[in-house]
Formats: sequence, C-alpha cells, structure tokens
Amino acid sequence: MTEYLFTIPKALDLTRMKQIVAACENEIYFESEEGDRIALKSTLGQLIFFSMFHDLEFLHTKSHLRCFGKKDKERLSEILTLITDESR
Amino acid sequence: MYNKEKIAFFHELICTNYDMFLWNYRSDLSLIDTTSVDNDIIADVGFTEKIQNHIALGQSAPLILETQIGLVWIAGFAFENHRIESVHLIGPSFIGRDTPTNLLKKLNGYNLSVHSRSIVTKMIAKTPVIPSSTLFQYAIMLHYTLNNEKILVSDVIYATSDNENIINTMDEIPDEHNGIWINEQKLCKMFEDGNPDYKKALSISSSISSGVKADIGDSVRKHKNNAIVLLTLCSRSCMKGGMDPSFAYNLNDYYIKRFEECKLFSDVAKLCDAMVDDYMSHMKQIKESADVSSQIQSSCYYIKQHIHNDISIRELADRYGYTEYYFSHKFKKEMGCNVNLYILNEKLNQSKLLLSGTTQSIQEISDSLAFCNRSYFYSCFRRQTGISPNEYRKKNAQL
Repeated sequence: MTEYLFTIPKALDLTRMKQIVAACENEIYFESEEGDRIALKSTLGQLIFFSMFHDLEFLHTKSHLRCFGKKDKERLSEILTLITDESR
Repeated sequence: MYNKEKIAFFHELICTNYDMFLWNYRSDLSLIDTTSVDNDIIADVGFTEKIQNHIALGQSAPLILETQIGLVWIAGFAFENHRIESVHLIGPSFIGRDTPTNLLKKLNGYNLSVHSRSIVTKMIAKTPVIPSSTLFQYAIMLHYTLNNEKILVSDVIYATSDNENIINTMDEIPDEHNGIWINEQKLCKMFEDGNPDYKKALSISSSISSGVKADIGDSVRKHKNNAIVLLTLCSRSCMKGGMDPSFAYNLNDYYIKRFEECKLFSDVAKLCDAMVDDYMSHMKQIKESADVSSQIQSSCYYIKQHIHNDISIRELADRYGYTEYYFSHKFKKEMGCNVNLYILNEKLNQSKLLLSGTTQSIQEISDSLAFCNRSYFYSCFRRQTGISPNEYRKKNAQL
C-alpha cells in the first residue's frame, strides 16, 4: 500500500484532526527524528500526541505523520501538507 | 446568563487544592472561554454526544465524564426558567492513585524517545489525583454555584462508556438462573450464623452455578470475578452475623489484593477456599464468645491487627469513650483475663508463628512484637510455654 508523509503545521485544528484520524481507514502514525512511532487511532496515542503539542518547534521541524492509501491521504490533505509520495 | 464571577471564584477555590482548568460553553456547546490552552475540550476528547444526550434527556444534574485512559472531568449545567443556559467543565483529574501509575506503565509499550517520554510524564504528573468522594463533592458544589440549588451525591450522574453495546450484550447472556438465588441465600445465612456445614452449602451452590454467566473471553479473570463476588457475599454476611465491620473490610481488601495477584485458575480456587475458611473460623470464635460485647470483641480484633505495636489500655479505652478503669473492668469481666495479659498472650502466639515459620532472630522477633527487651520476651515466653524460644523453634520449625 502506498505510504504518504505529512508535515505538522504550526497552527493545527486539533478537533478537526481528531475527526479526520477517526474517519481514516488505516492507522495514522506520528513519527519523529528521535525514534517515536505512535499510532494515533488509539486514545493513549492521541494523549501522547496532544501532550506534545505544546512543543511546536519539535512537532513542526522534527516529526511528521505517516498514512497509508490514497483515501486517507486525501482526508489528511485537508489540514496537513504532503511531504513526499513513497511507493512500496 | 451564568454568574461569571461566581464560577470563576469556585474555580479558584478548587485550584487551592487541585490544579484544574475551567471551560465555559453556551447551551449549543460553542466555547465561550477557558483557562486552558486546550480550547475545545468537549470536542477534542469526544464528550459532545454524551453531553448532548444528557441535555436531551432533560437531566440537570452534574455529569462525571471519563476517558478510556482514566482522565475525568466534571460537567455542570446552568439553568434558567427550566432551560439550559450554559455548560461548564472542570478538569482533568485522575481518580485513584493507581491510574497515573498504570498509564505510565502502558507508555512503556510505545518505545517513546527520551524527549517525548519526558513531556508526557510531566503532563501526567501535573494532572491531579482526586478521591472519587471529593470529585462528587465538587460536582455538588459546582451545581450549587451555577443554580443555587442543593443536590445529593446520589443525584450526580456518571456517564457510561458505551450504552448501546451493553444492551446488545444482555441478549447474549444466558437467562437460566434457576435455583441460584435460593441457594445463595442459604449460603449467606450459613456465613452469618458461622454454621460449620458451610462447605456443604458451598459445594451445592457450585454444582448449581459456575458463577457469573457473562463470557468475557478470559477464564482466569472470570474466576477472579466469581471469587470476588463470593468474598463480598461472605464478608457482608459475616458483618450481619456480628463480625466487626472494620475487621471484615480489612480482610476483604486483603483477599481482593491476593485474588488479583493470582495467575492461574487453581490459585484462585485454592485461595477462595482459604478465604471462606478464614472468615468462618473468625465467625466461629464470635459465636462461641456470644457473651462478649461488640466493643470488647472489636478491641480484641484491634489488638490482633496491631500486634506489632505497643498497645496501651488508654488507647483501647479511648476508642469507645471509656475510662481506662471502666474498660479494664469490662474487659476482664467478659474475657476472663485482664487486658495486658490478653495482649501478652496474643503477642506470644504470634511469636510462636514467627519462630516456627521464619528465620528471624529472637531479638528481631522480640523487637517486631514491641517487647521492651529480649530478656523480657524470653522470660514471658518461657513462663507461658515452659521452654525457651530457641527450644520451641527447634521442636516446631516449618521451614
């Protein structure tokens, strides 16, 4: 399945993001340069992600979101910026 | 419109004890303002539907809202002329000291970087842990602040997680419970009476029912649940039969902890037998000492539970508002020996268990049982048993 990476903008509507993640068919992962890989569909995963939201510098420059499949890519494109298009 | 100053003051008062945030919403759940950086907590955490259902059912009482990871908020509703005017949330907090610890343990499964773990750990550490009784009190106070109306704790509503699923599952639970109720009642009566034939009643109950019928997909958990049900029936029946409630509850908590530590069904079953035997042996003592008043029985339990402490007659008498003289006199009349001798005998009985079942030195045993010195312990022991502690240990060692 094709994977897509998105940057996390400095101004992000958390409420809308939560709704979009819930609507996605496949898992969405938050990944950072320091090795974090957190699944965002789980409640605990969201808690971890939202608690890091106060460190905008870290989120914006050193991490990204990964999704799978075109449909999820289109959903996330509403609020996030696509970085690259990796094919498997 | 709600009284802004009143709700702000109430929030300030709560924050003198617990650091929580306040969100103020209009009746359509659009945010007015908040003291938190997380703007729309109702939508962010997924409370919208629960609050809308609460309002649609015409309920005005405060609502306790909980997420799956144990974070809790109180929702209060301001009414004017029987119409909801505003909704106010205070939180988040944890209920129960274990919740943040368990949450941190779950984080271990996420292999977080040091940076991320540090942020999340700080966030969890900042979230206050509030006893559930206090949370309910705050809910009552919030309602009064908003509506000038006094309510009871029983009026506060706890939002459940998924009502539709529960209703569907009810259809899947077998509804054959013939004979279970009557046998349960017979068993409880036996516990209450300290009837030595309780084992027979217990095996009859087991043959009629294998316990809770809901299949939760985990057989050890199911057996633990059954054991805890039996423990609850046993402890409450024993209290009804005269067991000191404080003692019964302590024993109840002890066995719940032991049941939760069990890993196998056989461990649960063995512990269950030990639990019932434990309660019944105490009930037997109670029934045999029926001439002893509840105060003296309670003080005997207190002595047993504090056997490692230095217990004074004054301390025991104060528990019941008696003078030392009256308590001593009453104790001797009902128990047939004076208080100090009873305490000494209990300590010596405990020392026998420690001598036969542990490798603790005589000095350690003497100190742990609050004897003033080893020589005194030695001479008391010898006077009661006729032999020294060391000789007793050699004869009775269980290790």
